[in-house]
Amino acid sequence: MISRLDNLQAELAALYTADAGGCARDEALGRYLTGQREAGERAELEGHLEGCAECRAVLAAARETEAVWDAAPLAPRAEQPGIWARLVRWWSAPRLATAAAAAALVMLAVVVWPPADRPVGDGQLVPKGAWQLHVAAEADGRTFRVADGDRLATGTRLGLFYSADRDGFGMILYADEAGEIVRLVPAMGVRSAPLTAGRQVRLPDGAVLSPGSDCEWIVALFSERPLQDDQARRAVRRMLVDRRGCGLDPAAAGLPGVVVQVVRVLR
Amino acid sequence: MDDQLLERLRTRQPEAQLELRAQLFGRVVAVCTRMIRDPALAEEAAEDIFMDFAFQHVDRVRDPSALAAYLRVMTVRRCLRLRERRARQDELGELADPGQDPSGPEESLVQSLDLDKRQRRLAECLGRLSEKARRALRLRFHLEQTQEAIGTALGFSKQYAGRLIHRSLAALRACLEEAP
Repeated sequence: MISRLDNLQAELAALYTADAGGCARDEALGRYLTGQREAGERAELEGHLEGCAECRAVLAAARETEAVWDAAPLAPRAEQPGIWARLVRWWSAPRLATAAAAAALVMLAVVVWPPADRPVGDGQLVPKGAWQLHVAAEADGRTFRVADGDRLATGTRLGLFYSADRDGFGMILYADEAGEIVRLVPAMGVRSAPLTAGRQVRLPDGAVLSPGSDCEWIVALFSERPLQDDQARRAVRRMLVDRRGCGLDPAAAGLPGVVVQVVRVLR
Repeated sequence: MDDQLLERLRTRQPEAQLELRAQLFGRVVAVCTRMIRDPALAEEAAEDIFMDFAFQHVDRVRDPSALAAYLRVMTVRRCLRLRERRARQDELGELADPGQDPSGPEESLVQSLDLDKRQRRLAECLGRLSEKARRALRLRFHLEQTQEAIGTALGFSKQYAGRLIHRSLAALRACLEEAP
């Protein structure tokens, strides 16, 4: 094995190509399956199938799985990179089916807002027309509001709330030093979620923290028009690239007209 | 499906890749799960299929209306190969007994066993890496993407992509040096 380490990269490429590659007739096979054959294509393809066992097997397997293909949801879950294993959706609608969970949530809302040591807006009134993110945490039987720079432990549950004096759209993402970005709100779809005006409105999705890096951030993007997922991720990446230590500068997001709020979480 | 989507995919626009993913990834995962049975392997296979299609195979599709059907055929073909490869490796695992007399089998079979043993060992070592690292290596060594493109595809900076690939190769070497 050691003598072949010099060829590691070639070995990797060979491993990947062993299962990859298609048939030049994959497009024709696809049309054959869906009945959209081009003129003259059918006879040529059927001639090929007589001599190609793999393509015959592909055709048979495709027919067997046709119902699976047609019935599948558009996306099995919100698309997230590896960091997703570190964040578990919590307080989403299905979890509130039990009375106990619902009671806990109500208790959280009552206990946290307004908490004695962390008043909403730090004692300032929320300006008219503004949006504001609030992050609540539950750990070791204690509930509290998360302020920028708070140190949180593994296992802490995060709940997300907002206040807004007008309707709009919001997206909340979680990012870490390694550049991984997970979208918390909304759970599905490709653009930000509609938000109706209100005070300390609970959002349906939160997270539970598992072991993480030193600096992590909750980034909220509020706007009058919906923001696309890729726009938001690019903005967060720009902030990550321009960061100084653990500080993210909302101005680096480069999204005119979008209110960007960052809550830094230290681990 | 949007007729312009194929053109945008051919220029490797991330927004177009995201759009395709939103429309078809669930179906790819569903078929892989049905054919491979192991949900974790099926989802990883689906990710590989999607990456290979987005960065390579998309250029082979001529007709925009055939895009979804092409991806469906590609998914089935890849899952069939994976299934057969796993079955073959299981058989070879039984045959490739270190105690077996090497002069017994024909030379070509010994070489074939040796090659498959190497690839199996490499696959085992790859399995120890994170999902993120495996995808980065595939984008680099199979799809020949730049670090910047890898960073964009996986959602981090090109600098991090470079460090991740470097660390992952070092981890693979260390794993291959271990006794199996």
